[in-house]
Amino acid sequence: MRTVGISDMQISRVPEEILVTYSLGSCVALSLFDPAVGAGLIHCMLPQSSIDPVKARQKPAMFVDLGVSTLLDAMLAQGARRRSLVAKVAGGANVFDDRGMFRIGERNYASLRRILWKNDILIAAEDVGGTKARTMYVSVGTGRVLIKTGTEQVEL
Amino acid sequence: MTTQPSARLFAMPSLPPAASKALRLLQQPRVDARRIARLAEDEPAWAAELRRLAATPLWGLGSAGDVEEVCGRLGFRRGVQLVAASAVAPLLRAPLPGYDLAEGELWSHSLAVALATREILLERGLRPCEEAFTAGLLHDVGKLMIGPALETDPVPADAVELLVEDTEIRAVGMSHTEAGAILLEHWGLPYWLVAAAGAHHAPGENSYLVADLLHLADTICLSAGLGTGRDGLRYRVSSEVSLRWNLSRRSVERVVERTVEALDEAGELIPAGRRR
Repeated sequence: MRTVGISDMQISRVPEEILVTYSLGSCVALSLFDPAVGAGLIHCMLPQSSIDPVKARQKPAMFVDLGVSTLLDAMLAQGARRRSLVAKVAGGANVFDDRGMFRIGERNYASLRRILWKNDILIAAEDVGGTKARTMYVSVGTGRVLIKTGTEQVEL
Repeated sequence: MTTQPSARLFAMPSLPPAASKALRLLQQPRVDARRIARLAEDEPAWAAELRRLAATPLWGLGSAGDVEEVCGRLGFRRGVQLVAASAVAPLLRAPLPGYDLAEGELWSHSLAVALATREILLERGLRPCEEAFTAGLLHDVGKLMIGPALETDPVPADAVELLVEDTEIRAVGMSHTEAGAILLEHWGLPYWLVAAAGAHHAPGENSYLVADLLHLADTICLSAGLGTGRDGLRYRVSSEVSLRWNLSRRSVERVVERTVEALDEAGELIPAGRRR
């Protein structure tokens, strides 16, 4: 099991390995899987890198707009083919907020969809929104994705 | 103010006795660091925790010397913070299965909320409030009381769309904010701290600075996934507090970013139970 922290991304070619990222609140996680290469997982915290360009250079995975492109480029550099990639998404939850100040999850998810759309990648499965905190497990060998919420577990 | 919890359901966690005496002593207007040091001599484990935390980037004393030197160098208000932090850290670091919080997760969340109060004020061009930082460290101690009861009286499955406090009341008859106020009062801590912890999910229109900051900071940290556990994000943002502070979305995002960075620098971003 290899942990992907907040504002972190990992790619693995080891079929027996599981990538896991914990405590997805408003953050979003994206897994990309190519059977010929393996799997990548990123845990992004904020939608737009423009709020801190310096930090964006140091930690691109912190931001959806930069991190997703970075993960995609890294997968392609390892030999993945764009049309083979299977994308699965989790996270993007929100607190109950009538004024919308804290709806970071919605903004993260919107940013993620925009970047994937620009890169011609469809989302194969997702578990997003609501108020749940999720943990995402990705099997590198099969691309299977499990989402755990408390005692519940669903496969994407 | 609130009813006392049933002894059958809720046990009140204790602070190290010397730390407890120190916290009461620090409510006096002037306290000699030597008196804190003398109390620490009776409790080496607490003293070691205090010195260890003082050396972290959170208090920034590096390789500080003994307890007297640490308290003397930090000054009164940051000294109170450190004494409070070192007193509750061992309790907050324990895993809390009733909330699905791994080892270290509630401690990491409490530090994050303390740090976020600082970042919110800096974002608004204001000076950090040391009292709000202390309140951040202590705001969720009520979960220590409620957590064990939630293991045996879990939240009903149909309660997933209710607010966390409502599900706690349904499951065990008391919310963690109410329990926190009772516990802090039991520990002899000052009323402003008791009131802020008791109101941190619903500060209302007659709130004051520390309670507002706790509410905003807690919301920000939970949104970032810090200490959510089983509860997820089933919390409601107070409209009154939102209106009073009127933070922009970008301000909120900058506070999230800086809080997480500060927590990472302190080595507490990944709780012990999540490290492999």
